[in-house]
Amino acid sequence: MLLRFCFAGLLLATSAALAQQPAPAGMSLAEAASRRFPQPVRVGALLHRQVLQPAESQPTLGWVRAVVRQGDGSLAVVVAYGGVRGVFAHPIAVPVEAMTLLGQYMEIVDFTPAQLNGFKTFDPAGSQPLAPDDVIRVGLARPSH
Amino acid sequence: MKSLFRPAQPTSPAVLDDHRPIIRSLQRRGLIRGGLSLGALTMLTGCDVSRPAAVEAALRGISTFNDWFQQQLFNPNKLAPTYPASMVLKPPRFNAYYDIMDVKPVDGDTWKLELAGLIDDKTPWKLPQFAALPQQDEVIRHICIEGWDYIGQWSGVPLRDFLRRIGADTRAKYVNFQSADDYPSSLDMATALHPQTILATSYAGEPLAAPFGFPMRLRTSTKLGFKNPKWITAIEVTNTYTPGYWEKAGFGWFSGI
Repeated sequence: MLLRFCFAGLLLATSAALAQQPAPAGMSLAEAASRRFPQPVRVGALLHRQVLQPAESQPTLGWVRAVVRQGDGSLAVVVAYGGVRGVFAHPIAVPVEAMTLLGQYMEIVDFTPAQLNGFKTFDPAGSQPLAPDDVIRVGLARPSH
Repeated sequence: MKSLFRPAQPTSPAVLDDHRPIIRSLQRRGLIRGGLSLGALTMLTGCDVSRPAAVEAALRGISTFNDWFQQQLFNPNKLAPTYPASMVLKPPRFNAYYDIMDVKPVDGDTWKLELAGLIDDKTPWKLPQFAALPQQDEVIRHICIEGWDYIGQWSGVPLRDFLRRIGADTRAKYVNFQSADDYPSSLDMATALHPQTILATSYAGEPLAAPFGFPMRLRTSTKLGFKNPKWITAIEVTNTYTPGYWEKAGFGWFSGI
């Protein structure tokens, strides 16, 4: 088992990046998310999850800090984004439709890191955090490697 | 100084190109991944690597030996570890050989399970008939050949109970599966009869959701994840080996944990 994990790590470290299937051209985030078979999941089960980039090397983009309902009624996942292993990370709000479940992880499938770099730092004013027992629906992804 | 073991004729790099698909698949299996190179390939064959058939035969031979060896080690009565329900991942992790957007849900009302081969009663089964049978619940670890894993809670009819109910010849070597997503798979009979091998129809107390194999998938605690076909449509009991989807690409057939 250990060998298998070691070799898998070697493969991940040396392989070229492959993107997860993003929203097809001309399709809105909501339309794309609906085609990813959204599944019910407790908000509390999402908190502190590692957020990955959908590339073969699966770089970490951040960690889930909260799920909030924004002023316009939309749901967003607040991700502690950037920094070095979480240090100097800043919170950004990513539309839940742009994120997927990948087992114990989440992925941001519809924004590249370059686009996420342009996200404003999340301002909690005007948004309402969801309770841990609230259930939301999040689309699925298959592994990128 | 020239090595005494260096071949008189240099090895043609074309041999790697000739066998790229099988090498790629073997690379996923770990053991060979770290050391497979043109030189290692030369040692594996122990013969003329300019003959593609010799190289392929050597690689297939190693894989066949791995399968045989694992089969000898397999204890049909030994149970895999189980876990508390609090550790269950909800929802489970999706995986397939295609993207999530390409999943084609199966209609449970029209679905039926076809039976073939060494079975006395080949009458197809419908979903309500399975629901009426005694169910087994198990919280086991799913381990993927890619290196990831999770703990899941699966419920359904034990495959050995079902095989006996339909009069399957349990002395046969293989139990083959067909699926709605064209993902054939094959089990050894010992694994099919293992007490933790079930035809799963629910996950974490809820009916299987479409992307996880509704209405029926295989869950066995003793095999790697790719040996658990989803959206099963047919079962065949046979003595004829038929490679599964990934086995055709070079994965080991037994693939035990």
